[in-house]
Amino acid sequence: MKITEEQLDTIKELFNIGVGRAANTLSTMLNSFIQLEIPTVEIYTNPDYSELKKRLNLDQVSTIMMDYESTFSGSVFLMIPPESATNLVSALVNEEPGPISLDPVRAGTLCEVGNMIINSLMGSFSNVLQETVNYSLPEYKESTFENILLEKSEQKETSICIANTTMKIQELEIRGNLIIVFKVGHLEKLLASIDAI
Amino acid sequence: MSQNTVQHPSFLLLNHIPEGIFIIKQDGCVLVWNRCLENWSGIKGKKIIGEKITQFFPHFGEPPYPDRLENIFQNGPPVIFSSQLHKHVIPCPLQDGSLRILHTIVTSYKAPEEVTPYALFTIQDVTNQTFQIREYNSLHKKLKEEIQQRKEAENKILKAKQEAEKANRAKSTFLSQMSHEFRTPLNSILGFTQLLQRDFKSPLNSQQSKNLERVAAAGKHLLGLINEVLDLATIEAGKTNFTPEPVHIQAVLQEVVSLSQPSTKTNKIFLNIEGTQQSDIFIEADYLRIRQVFFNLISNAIKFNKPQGSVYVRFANTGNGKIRIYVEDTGVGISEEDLPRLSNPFERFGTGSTFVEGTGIGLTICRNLVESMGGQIKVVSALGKGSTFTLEFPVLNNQRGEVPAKGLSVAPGKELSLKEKRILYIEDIDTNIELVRQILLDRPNYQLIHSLSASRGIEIALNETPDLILMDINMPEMDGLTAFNKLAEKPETKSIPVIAVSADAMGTDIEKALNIGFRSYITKPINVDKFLETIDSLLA
Repeated sequence: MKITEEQLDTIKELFNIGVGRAANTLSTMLNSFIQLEIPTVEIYTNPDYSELKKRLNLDQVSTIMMDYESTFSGSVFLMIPPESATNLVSALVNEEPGPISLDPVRAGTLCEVGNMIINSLMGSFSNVLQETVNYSLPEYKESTFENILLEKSEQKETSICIANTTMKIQELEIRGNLIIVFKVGHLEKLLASIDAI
Repeated sequence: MSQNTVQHPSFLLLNHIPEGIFIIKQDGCVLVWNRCLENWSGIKGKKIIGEKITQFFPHFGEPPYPDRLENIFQNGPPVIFSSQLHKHVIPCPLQDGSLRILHTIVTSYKAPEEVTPYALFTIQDVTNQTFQIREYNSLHKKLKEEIQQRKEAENKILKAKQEAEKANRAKSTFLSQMSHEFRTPLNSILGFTQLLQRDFKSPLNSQQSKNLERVAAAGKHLLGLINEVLDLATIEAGKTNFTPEPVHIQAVLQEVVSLSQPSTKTNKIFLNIEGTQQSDIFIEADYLRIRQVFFNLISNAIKFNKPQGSVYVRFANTGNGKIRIYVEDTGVGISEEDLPRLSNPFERFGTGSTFVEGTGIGLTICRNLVESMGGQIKVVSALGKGSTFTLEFPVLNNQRGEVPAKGLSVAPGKELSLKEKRILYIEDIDTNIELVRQILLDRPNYQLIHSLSASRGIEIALNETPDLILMDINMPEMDGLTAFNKLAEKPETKSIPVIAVSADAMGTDIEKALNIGFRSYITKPINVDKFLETIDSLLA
């Protein structure tokens, strides 16, 4: 499937808008300057998850995920290396770092941060494309990159949009990945909606 | 939504859910306030339903709530208010006055006949979980700290052990180096003394002979002390070689008692082995070492005895596969406080009139040797009454036959060669060379050539092809082992027998030299008879 430069640029712009809004909301809520950057956006069709894992250098990840349903449907993930996730929560609540998987309270905090970023992202998509989207409840999980994606999608005929993001909070720099997985044929629908703008 | 809608059966169901649930419209008006939330907040549904939420909780009108809830009313994605980042979404006090810790999820709910969705708040009480996790984290932290402290303590102990081992190795190295340093001048003292005693062409008068005997005795005594120190170093370094073999206990004891008799004369000490019955008891031990142990104990029993005192040596089969050997004296004895210090190396007992010469390490060596050979040694003593040393060894079963004739075996002498032989002596100290030159005057057909350095010695060996090479080991620039290897590489010199002559007297030094090909190893101070015997046997 071929994606034009214009389509890719629009998708990048939607990411930037969404993430920018998330940064504002987080900054206001936490009364602390928070910066979110999206340096790169890439789209893969029929991806090989093990190759992708090596390319992104992602093995064990802390993930906040949500399913969405619209004319284009799928799942959206925010993936952060577990150590970064621990440091992020610790910086936000000003407590000593501790394992998140054993602590539902910390998992809840990370879930809220991920939820804000994902909501802002999907909000920007649905606003611009004037689409109504339904969502599942956000969920926190720790597992491998491949296992998490395979839970939600088959590798074959799936399309993935991956944005590398860097969050800066106080002196901390957290690298993460925003991933939108499109069900079969749904990326084409998104692209069709973009073309219709 | 009308009040009636509030009474809709699906909403009544919410009263049975053990989580706090409330619903607000876009204008902030409360539509549902379930029973659980009534209990937690203390606010009755009747009071709040139909009113604005901001009337009871003003913070709902302040950031971040309006922005975050905006999308909910557009059927947007769910919103989370975590307990750590939002402590008072709905303040719910506990009995002790503290607030419940709550995790809130807000989802969009579209009632069938309504145009705008509502915001459905689901509140989970995570207070207990939070306290349990905090307690767990605290315990976890304490455990980690304890583990860290233990690791540090273990590392300290390990470091101390390594340092102690290092110090022990350094001590052993120092002792063996000192042994070497003392042996070198002692080589001259004892060597030239022996030559004077053997000089039949210019015999000494009676007084000169006695004086020379005193010099020789003092030199041998000094050598004995040096050997004891070296022994200790060797044993502690774990480098003692044992040759276990069947040893007839009665024979060894009789030999040692016989050798010790001369030393009883000074103080008229009575020394005897009790019981004359022939015994066939054998143990498995290194003959020379067990002899050394008995010699040490009996000699101490004589040394530390009162004038006209007694030393009794006896042995007995315990009946359970072991033999006990007793060395009992009527000497000065050892006090109870001093007994534990007995085996400490260099620990000396006795002052003033009871002072006895020695290094104070003999008993340490005895204990180490006995235990290395599978035995035990104990002592019972009373001050002023005497001491009894008891050794116990497993009996070697089924050992019968002749009592082995042990002692330094003397190899049958080879016939001396009368042909002229050339001996090259490579040695950096000229006094040692002079000693050997004078020793070899006893062998007129042996011609001595020498070199003060190993490299020059190799040149001489290549040019002159001597019949025998004597090689010092410790030399500057090139040591004897390296020189030997160089000689072994050359066709002209590889077949020349080489004898090591060295003050390095540790078993490992000797073994190392013999392993690379030295034909024999003579330790300094040189024993003239043995020196000549060794050279004769290689030149025969």
